[in-house]
Amino acid sequence: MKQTILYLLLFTVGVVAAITGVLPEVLQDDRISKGILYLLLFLVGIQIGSGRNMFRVLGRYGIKIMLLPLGTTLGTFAGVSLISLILPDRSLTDCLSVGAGFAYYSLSSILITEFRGAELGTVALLANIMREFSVLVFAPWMVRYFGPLAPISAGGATTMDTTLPFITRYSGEPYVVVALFHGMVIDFTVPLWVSLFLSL
Amino acid sequence: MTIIPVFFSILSGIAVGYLLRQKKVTQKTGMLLNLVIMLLLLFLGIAVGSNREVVTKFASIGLEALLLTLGGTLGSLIAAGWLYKKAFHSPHETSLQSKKNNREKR
Repeated sequence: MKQTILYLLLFTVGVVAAITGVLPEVLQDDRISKGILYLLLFLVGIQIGSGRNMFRVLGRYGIKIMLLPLGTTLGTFAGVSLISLILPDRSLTDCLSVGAGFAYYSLSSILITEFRGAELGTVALLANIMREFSVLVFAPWMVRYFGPLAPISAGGATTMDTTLPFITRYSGEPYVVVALFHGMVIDFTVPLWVSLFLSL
Repeated sequence: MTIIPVFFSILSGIAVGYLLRQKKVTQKTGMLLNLVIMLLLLFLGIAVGSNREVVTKFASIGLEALLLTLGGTLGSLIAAGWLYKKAFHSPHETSLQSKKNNREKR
């Protein structure tokens, strides 16, 4: 929560600084942010490669635990595809790349801004922040109407960190491992899906 | 063409991370990642602020974001509800869910 606010604050500082024009030209060179973006992706890769937990959990729970990340992915893609029909200005792949952020708003919006421009990048930032917040606010409602797996699915990539306490509370202790595994898998697939949809 | 360096960056990171998985250095990546994300969000803000079109269209951008969130989240909720009924909530399955609690609720 604190981190989200800090992120939003930095984003806002950037917006205000650019609008008021207090920035030196150097900072508006997009080669700098592109360079840092590749560093970011490299670091994301290191985290994935050095992570030991994912496969250990898989061994203990078997194949069934894989079904939830798959369901989250397919459900999300189906939902945003439907929405793309009522958004005349956005192509299907634009909408899918926004949906493929799975609440991982920082990474998805940065990638989308670099490859599709600031407008769709802002859509991605807002949409994915809203997705994370939906769990923080509606988790009890999600459990009541869609069962204990629902807030995990809705939480997307955040179910191993920011939304985990809420999932533990409303879905129950037995779902902590499911949520951790789900978060790790989705987290890992975000940059892959987003760049795939951007390249189509 | 533009997307190839993206895959290359991630894949080389995975390789390096895997090779260094026993080393303490890899535990520091989370912190560094956080700093890089903060820096990039500042740049993202700058990109948004210098784009007049985004600034003037902010309301419609917000609405699009809301609709996409609704679609994506509802889609995943429906998938999760269906999956729970089909795969997790079977009478023979007790490992992931406590049957006792469930009966008490009824």
